[in-house]
Amino acid sequence: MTLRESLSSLLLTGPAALALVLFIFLPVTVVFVLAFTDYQIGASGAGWVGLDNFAQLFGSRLGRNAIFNTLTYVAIVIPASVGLGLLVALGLHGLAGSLPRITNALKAVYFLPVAATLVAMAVSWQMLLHPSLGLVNTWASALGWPAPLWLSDRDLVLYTLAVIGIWQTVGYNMVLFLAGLAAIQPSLYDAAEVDGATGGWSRFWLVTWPMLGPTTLFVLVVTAANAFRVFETVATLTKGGPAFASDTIVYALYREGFVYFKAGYASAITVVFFLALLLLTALQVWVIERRVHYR
Amino acid sequence: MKRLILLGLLALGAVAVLLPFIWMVSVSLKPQSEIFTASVTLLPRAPTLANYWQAVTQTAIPRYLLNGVIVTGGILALQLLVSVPCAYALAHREFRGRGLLFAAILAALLAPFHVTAIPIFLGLAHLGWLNSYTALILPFTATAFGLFLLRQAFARIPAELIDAARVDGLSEMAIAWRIAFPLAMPTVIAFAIFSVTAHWNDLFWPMIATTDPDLATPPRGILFYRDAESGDEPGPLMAGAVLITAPLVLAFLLSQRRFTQGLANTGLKG
Amino acid sequence: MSDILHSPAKGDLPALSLCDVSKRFGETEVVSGFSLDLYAGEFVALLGASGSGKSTTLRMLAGLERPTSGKVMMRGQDVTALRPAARNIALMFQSYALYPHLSVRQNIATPLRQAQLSAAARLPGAGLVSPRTRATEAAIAGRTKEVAEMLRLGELLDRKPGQLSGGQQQRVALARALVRDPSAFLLDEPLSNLDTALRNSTREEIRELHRSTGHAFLLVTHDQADALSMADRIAVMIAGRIAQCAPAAEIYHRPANRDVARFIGAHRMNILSPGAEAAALHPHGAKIEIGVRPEALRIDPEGALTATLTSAAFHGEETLLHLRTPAGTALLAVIDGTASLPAKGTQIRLGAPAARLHGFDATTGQRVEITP
Repeated sequence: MTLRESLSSLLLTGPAALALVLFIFLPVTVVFVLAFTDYQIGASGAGWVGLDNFAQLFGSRLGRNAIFNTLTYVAIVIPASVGLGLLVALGLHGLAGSLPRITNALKAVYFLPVAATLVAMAVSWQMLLHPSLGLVNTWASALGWPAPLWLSDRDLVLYTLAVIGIWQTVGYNMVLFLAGLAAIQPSLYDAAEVDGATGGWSRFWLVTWPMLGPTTLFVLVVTAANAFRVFETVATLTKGGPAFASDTIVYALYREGFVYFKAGYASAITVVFFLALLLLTALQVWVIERRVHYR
Repeated sequence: MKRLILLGLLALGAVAVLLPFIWMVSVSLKPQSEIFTASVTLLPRAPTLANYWQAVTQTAIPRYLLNGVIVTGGILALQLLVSVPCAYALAHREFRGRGLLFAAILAALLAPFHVTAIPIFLGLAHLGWLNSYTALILPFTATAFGLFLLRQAFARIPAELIDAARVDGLSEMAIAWRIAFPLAMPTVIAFAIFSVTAHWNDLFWPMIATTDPDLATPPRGILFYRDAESGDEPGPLMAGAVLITAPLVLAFLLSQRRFTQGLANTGLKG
Repeated sequence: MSDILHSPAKGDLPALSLCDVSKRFGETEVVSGFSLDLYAGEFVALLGASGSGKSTTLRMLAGLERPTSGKVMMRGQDVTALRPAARNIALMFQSYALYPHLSVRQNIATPLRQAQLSAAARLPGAGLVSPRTRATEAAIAGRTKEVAEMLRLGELLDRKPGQLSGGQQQRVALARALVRDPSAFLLDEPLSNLDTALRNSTREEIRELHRSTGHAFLLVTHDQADALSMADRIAVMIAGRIAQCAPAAEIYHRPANRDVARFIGAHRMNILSPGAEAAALHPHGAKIEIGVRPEALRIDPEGALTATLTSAAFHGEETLLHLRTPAGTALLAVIDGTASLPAKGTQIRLGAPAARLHGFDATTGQRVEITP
């Protein structure tokens, strides 16, 4: 390798490598250090506090509340949006042969929330769910149903946010499932037919479901990772309220770090959030290695 | 018959998905009197563009849209400027540390932006760069995802083609930009759609890095506006929401295939 | 035309037959007026180029495709409306279509489980509850093992298809097709994914399987070597129709028309249009086309045909001579590789034994008997 060539490589890769170090690796390292300090943004110094920040997160009512809310949200959004995404994909896949145009239009509609600006859509959801001016409660009272306070009832708000989360991710999951369905060899369905799996149900269990295995796993992990990060709807609609009933991990991170300037504590939240995501990825790799690739 | 039931169910679901869109557009077209009424209807009875006129002339929404263009454009330009040569080198050159660099990119893929926000904020504050376009754009220069996607696309270009360019006397930088970049255009477009959508829609970082409404990106801006009008003018607010959502939604409707690929196939991050 | 002419008289109803079957996709007719009888114990090959409609024919036999018109019969019963599983026909797919998530054992057992166990009984653990399910499961396991051993798969039963070689996958596909004792066995290009060495041994293996099971076999292939080496009868399919259905030797020596003549054989048959040159080879040549296979042409100083050598290609044991007659017809001759080569541009006299000449009607292309 000549000097000239080395310089050339440096010129090509240097800026990107520098950016990676500066904006990813260095900050991640700093976060892991800050998490063990009581640093406050603007303070001139900081003290080493060991695991205190983590103890606070897992020990305080507020910290546990944020974790519990996030897990609840994730536990609702994952099965609902993956299940609905699969159902819509199966339906559209079944119709695609006979009604290609309608299928395409429906596909676009279901995907629309993915492309739309979530904050703006959340503002629209807010109007839709408005106690007196909103359409939902107007219709509900017209039918004689109760008209709840969707976004300010402490027992309801998290579920309302979950519904919006599901609304936003179904189309995304549908597209991934459609790609998975399109990749199934048609001859497998022929084989199933010859082997006697004639009903839609037995075809589904013998071919479709197992062949969608890798797709389903991928969809599950992507949905989980995105649900863990829920922030936009919380910041737009509830700011974690009322009374922290919709406080979530990333919103707590934002609040503690950038509203209360508790950089040390916010870093501890960040570390926990990051480790949870890593665990999820590790789980995915492990499951893929073991089962889903059929090798 | 079975097919008809299926179609009916899917159409019903589609209407449910569309409801917030319909409502947003509907309210934006309603006169004030129709919004503040006891008999709320789905569609406006006397549609008017007055809310749009107000949103465009009397609010900062045009400014937010402009900020959105500047920030997303700046981010994409910087990302490509830095990533294309590096991805090219990773795909088609031998150099010491190549394996390490690629491993670093894969590792960096695991860290969402939320994880790096606090230290980056502290660094920018230290430099006095908060509340500027720089603060909104610069941190996103590093895109492990873009590097990875582009490297995969460049690796599919035959090595002979690169060697031919070398024989023809092109410099390595010229090969990266004049040979590899155009040949990987579908991937570049997919990445551009991904990057622009992600940053146009992002609320997290703009909420942290800026407090100045003049620098607000569209999502940040619409919240500024909403909190200022405090519920008195939902009409213009919805008109603003429509204006902010429209660019990406229209782009999606015009090139559905590319958009779906850009957002779904590149779906690891988001 | 009648294709039943050459079917062996068994005094029995055919195991499987297509009666005047046509299939149209939109505007295009892929199979037209197709009739074929397949008797128990017979091995028939359906030979055609890609796009000739042979795969569609196979799919109609299996029940995966419904004919636009015509009937599919099994032992005299109309099965046109029956689903594939109800016909008890085995089908081996070109891609093998093994279920990648199931083990070899489960793959082979699938047709039996689908037929003999209810949906509830197929659930894992159902055998713990019901003794009858347990008995059925045991019978299925026994049969699976038996078929697996017949195909030398006994050691591989717990592997997944992804862990097997191409040849092993092929045998699993065969086993899955055979396991329920089908009344007819359809093979769709079974050898196309195997390398040359494996092809030869697998041909022998399939022949052996046919002999030992006694089922009716139908092989669909585009490769004449497969058809010639395995089948008792070959149905040559051209443009959606049967062009000829006969034993291999007859198809080669007495092709029913010009298309078959050109399709069959290692080298394309030379055809001389009616005229002086054709007449030089055979007296009828003045009015009809005369065909002669390249391997039947030989250099003969007394030969009736003159042609100029345009190029020669040495292929080891044989040499291909490309020639042109004064009338401009391109000819191909295959001669022994040891023969000395005449120089390019030389005039050569060629002859062929009268028994190896074929006559075809110039307009219809149908065979005209000219050999004594």
